[in-house]
Amino acid sequence: MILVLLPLLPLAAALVTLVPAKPTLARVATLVAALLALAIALRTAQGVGISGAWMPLPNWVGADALSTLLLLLQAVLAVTAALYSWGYIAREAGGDERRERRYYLDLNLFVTSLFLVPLLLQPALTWVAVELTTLLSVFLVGFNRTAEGLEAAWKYAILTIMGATVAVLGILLLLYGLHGVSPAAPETWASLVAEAAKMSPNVLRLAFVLVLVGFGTKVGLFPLHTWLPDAHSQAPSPVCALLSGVEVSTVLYVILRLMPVWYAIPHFPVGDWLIAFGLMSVGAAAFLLLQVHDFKRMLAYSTVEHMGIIVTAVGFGQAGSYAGLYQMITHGLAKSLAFYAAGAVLLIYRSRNIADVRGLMRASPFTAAMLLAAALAIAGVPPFAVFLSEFSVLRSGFLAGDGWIVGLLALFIAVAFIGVMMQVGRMVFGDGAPPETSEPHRLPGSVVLAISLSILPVLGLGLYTPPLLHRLLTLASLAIAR
Amino acid sequence: MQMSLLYGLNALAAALFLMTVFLFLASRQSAASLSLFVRQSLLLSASALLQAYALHSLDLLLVAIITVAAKAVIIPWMLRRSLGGSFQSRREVELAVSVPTSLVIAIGASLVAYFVAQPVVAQAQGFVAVNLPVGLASLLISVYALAVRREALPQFLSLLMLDNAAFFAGIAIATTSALWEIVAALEGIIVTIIVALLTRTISERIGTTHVGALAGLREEGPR
Repeated sequence: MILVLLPLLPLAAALVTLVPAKPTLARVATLVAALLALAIALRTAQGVGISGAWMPLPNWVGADALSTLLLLLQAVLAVTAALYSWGYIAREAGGDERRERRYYLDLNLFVTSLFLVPLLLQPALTWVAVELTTLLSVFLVGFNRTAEGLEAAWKYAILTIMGATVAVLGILLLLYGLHGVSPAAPETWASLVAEAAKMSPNVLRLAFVLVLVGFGTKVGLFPLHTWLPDAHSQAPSPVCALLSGVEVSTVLYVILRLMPVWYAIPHFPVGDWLIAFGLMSVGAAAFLLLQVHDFKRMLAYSTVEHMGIIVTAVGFGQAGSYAGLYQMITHGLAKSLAFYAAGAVLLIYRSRNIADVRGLMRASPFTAAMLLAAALAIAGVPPFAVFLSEFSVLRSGFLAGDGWIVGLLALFIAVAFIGVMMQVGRMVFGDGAPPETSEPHRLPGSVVLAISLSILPVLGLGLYTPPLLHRLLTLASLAIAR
Repeated sequence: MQMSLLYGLNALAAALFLMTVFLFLASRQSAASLSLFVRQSLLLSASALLQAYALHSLDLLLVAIITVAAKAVIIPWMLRRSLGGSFQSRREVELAVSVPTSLVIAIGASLVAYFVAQPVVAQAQGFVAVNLPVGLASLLISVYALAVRREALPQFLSLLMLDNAAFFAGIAIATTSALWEIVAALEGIIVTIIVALLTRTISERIGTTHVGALAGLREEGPR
C-alpha cells in the first residue's frame, strides 16, 4: 500500500507551503517529501524486480516494471530539483517570500501529477493525470513573469492541451474497441492489451494516429515540437530539469504503454511510423542545434533529439525497446544535470545568450567543468551513461536489419554532437572577460550539492548497470515488445 | 419513443453541432464566439441525453447534466467574470486567414473526417455512425480555428470547442464510468481557471492579449 502514498507525499508538502511561514518550511517540506518518495520508489523497484508487478488497488493503482522505471526517474529528479531549488529560487525570488512559497506549491503539485501518470491503471484517468501535468506546471514555466516567460507559458498551455484533447479521442476509441469485444472488461491498460487482437483494426488504426499525434505533441516530436524549446528554456532551471528530464518521458510512457495494442493491428507498420517520427525529430533538432543562440534553448532542442532517438529505438523492436527505455533513464539524468549547470551559468552571467557567456572556466571552474561534463554526457560521449544507451540503440537497429536508418540516425547524432559541443566549447573556453559583479560568482551551496549529486548516476551508469535496473529494463521491454 | 426518432433527433443535434463550429470559424467577435460555445455545449448535452434515454444509461445522463453545468453555466460565467472587458469589446478578432478561405478549408476538413471515420463506422449503427464523423470533423476544424486565431481569448475558445468535439464523438463511442466524466468536467473547469489567469497576467504585464504578436522567442537562425 505504500505505493499509494507516493503522490500523496508531494501533495502533503504542497499543503505545507500554504502555511504563511518563512520559506524554509516549504523548502524542507518539499525536500523531505521528495526523499520519502524516492525511498518508496526504490522499495517499489525492489518489489517489482522480484514479483513483476505491485497492485495495491487492482484496476486502479499499481506498478509494473515500465511504470517503476519512470517512478524511479521521477523520484530521483524530484529530490535533486528540490535541493537545487533551495538556493536557486531564494535568489531568483529576491526575498519575496510569498512568491517563493507559491513556487514550492506549484512544484509539489506538478510532482504529484507526474507520479500519478505511471501509477494509474486506467487509460482515461491517466489522460486526466497527463492533462494535470500541463495545468500544474503552466505557472512554473511563467514563473519569471517576463514577456518571453508568459509567451512560453501560453504556447505550452495551448499546444499541449490541444494535443491531449486529440489524444483523448484516441483513448475513447480504444475503450470503444474494448467494449465491442469484451463489454464487462475493466477499462484498464491490461484489458486493452489482452483484448487488442480481437478489436477492429480500423478502430485501432484511427486510435493510433490520434494518440501518436496527440501525445506526440506533448512529447515534443517533430513537427509538433515548437512549444518545447520555448517552455523548457523560459522556466526556472530546476523546473526545466523536471520538464525536459522527466515530463516528456512521462507522456511518452503512455504511447509506450500501448505498444502491444498497436502491434495487434494486422499488417500495420507501427515500427515504421515510430521510426519516421523519431528520425524526423532527431534530424530537425540536430540541425537546429547548430543555429541556436540561447544555451537553455540548446538543451531543449537536445530533448527533442533524445525523444526522437527513444521513439526510433522502440520502432526497432524488442532489443530497441530495451535500449530506448535505457535511453529514457540516462537522458533524464543527464539532461537534469545539464539544466542545473545551465542554471548556475545563468546565476553568474544573468544572460541566456551564448555570445554573452565567455571565459566560464575562469569565472567558475566548478560550473565550467559540470557544464562541460553535462554537454559531453548528453552528446553521448563515453564514459557517460548516454553513450551506452545510444550505442545500444544503434546496435539494436543493426540487429533489426535497419542499417540505413542506423546510418542516418548516427549522422544526426553526430551533427547534434557538433552543435552542442561547439556552443558549450565557446562558453567554457571562449575568450572574454568574466562578468563584473559585486558577488564573486559564488553559487548557493544547495546548487553545488544538487549538481554534484546529479553527476554521480550520469557517470556511474556509464560504468556499471545495477542488476535491478537491468531486470526492470528487461521486464519493461518485454511488456512493450511485439 | 421509437429508436428511429431518437436517431433522427441525434442527427439533428449533430448537424447543428457541426454548424456551430462553422459559425465559430466565421465569427469575429469574442462575445459571439462564447455564445456559440454555450450553444454547442447544449447540443453536446442534448446528444448525451438522447443516448442516455435510448441506452438507459445513468452514466450518460450524468454526462448531460455535468456538461450543462460545467460548459454552459460555470465556464462561461468564469470567463465573463475574469475577462469581462474582452467580451464587451466590439473590436474584431484578428485572423491569420480570411473567413471565406477558412470556410473552404473547413469543408475540406469535414470531408477528410468523413472518409477517415468511414471504415470505423461502417459496421457501427445509430449514434456512433453520426457522432464519430461529426466529432472528428469538428475536432479538425477546431484545431484549424486555434491555429488561425492570434489572440488569447479566441484561441482559448477554440480549445474549448476542440474539447467539445472530442467529447461529442466520445459520448457515442465509449460510455466510460461517471467518475471519469466528473473528473474530466472538473479538469475542464481547472483549464478555464488557469488559462483565464494566464490571459489576465499576460494582459497586465504586456498590455495586450494579442499572443500572435508575441515573438520574442523566435530566435533560431544566423544573426
